[in-house]
Amino acid sequence: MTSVYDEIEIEDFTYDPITELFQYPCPCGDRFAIALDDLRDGEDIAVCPSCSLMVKVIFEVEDLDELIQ
Amino acid sequence: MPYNLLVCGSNGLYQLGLGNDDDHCELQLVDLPFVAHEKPKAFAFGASHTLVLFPNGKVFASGSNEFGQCGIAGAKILQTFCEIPGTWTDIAAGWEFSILKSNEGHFYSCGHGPKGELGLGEGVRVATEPTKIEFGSKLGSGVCKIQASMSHVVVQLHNGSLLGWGTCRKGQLGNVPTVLNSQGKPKPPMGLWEPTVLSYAPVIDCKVGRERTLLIREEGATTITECNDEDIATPMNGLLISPATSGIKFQCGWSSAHVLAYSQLYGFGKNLHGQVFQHDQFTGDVEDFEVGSEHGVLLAKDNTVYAWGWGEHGNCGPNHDDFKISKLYEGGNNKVVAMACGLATTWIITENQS
Repeated sequence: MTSVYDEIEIEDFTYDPITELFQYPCPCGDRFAIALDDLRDGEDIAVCPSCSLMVKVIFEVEDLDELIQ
Repeated sequence: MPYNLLVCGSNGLYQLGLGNDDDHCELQLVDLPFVAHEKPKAFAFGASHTLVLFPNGKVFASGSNEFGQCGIAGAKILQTFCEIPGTWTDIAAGWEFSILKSNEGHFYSCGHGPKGELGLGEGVRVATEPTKIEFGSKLGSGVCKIQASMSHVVVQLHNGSLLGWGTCRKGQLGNVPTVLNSQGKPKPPMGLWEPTVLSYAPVIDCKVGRERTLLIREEGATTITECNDEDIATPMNGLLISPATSGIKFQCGWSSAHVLAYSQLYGFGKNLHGQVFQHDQFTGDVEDFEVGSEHGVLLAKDNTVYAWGWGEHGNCGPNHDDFKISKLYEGGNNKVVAMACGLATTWIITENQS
């Protein structure tokens, strides 16, 4: 079991179509990030590049196409 | 009286205003004009930018200015504190945006608000310099104070009613009209794009934290709280027996809320990283406290500052254990007169008594 800081619904993430990343604020000031392709593969842990915290993404794979429009 | 501003914590985009981008676990002296003669009146913290307001109306900003959130068009990063043109009476900041209240009583926003955080109207996501927010006739009884959390803004009026804008999916702006999703089902909108009268009964105080709004009211001689996170308000209400006007202080972090009552501090919320103050860690009288995103500081009666919670960026001092309270600063002849906490940053103002 990975220890996660929080569980965040995908709707609360911001999607960047250029980098194809979903991002959500980390309390350190940087952002948790997970790639669209990783979500499609069923990955659900978004990590922060500046600290040790991570969040679990709550989502359904079939909803992703609507979210990235 | 000469004042000093000390700081430690997360600093990846120069948000500590020290001229370097290293995290600091030892308190550093900030070289900020005016601080020697005037005690800062307020701080506001974004993801990676910091605003400081002085009693004379000057505001200084440091850190990320990628979208103009430091209120100064031009440089993408301010490595040290720079003055925002204008004279201001109040400040607030969220993730990548800032709100400023001018001496004339007008509100301005700047920075990035992809979900309505700027309050400048439908679809306005970026303002590279302070831009006036239009309220129409909604400011009625006049503004008491303005607060911003990560992605929502709340304005409290003198009569206790509230206006708000920004993200609202979690109920942090009360009941808002639903919109239809692609299957035609109603869902909460992503955000409110302009100042909106919130559906709450009048309050005497309110606090914001990440995706949460804590409302404080008095019923008879008792304080009651309401929050869109029931894990916060329900246990807090079990504690409060005096009217809030008797000096009870509330603060919201990202995963927690705290209340200082009867010189004792109590924390509520999620404690995965020790961010909820545990009463048995410090049993002495508490003079004051502040909380940041996931940590907090308290001032003891003996002029010592203690820190608790998530301290990965040095914001709780060196050698901090998230689940133990740490002594961060011993004042000695330097009296601690104010504290502030941002996103893994800690700020202490001292006044030299010698």
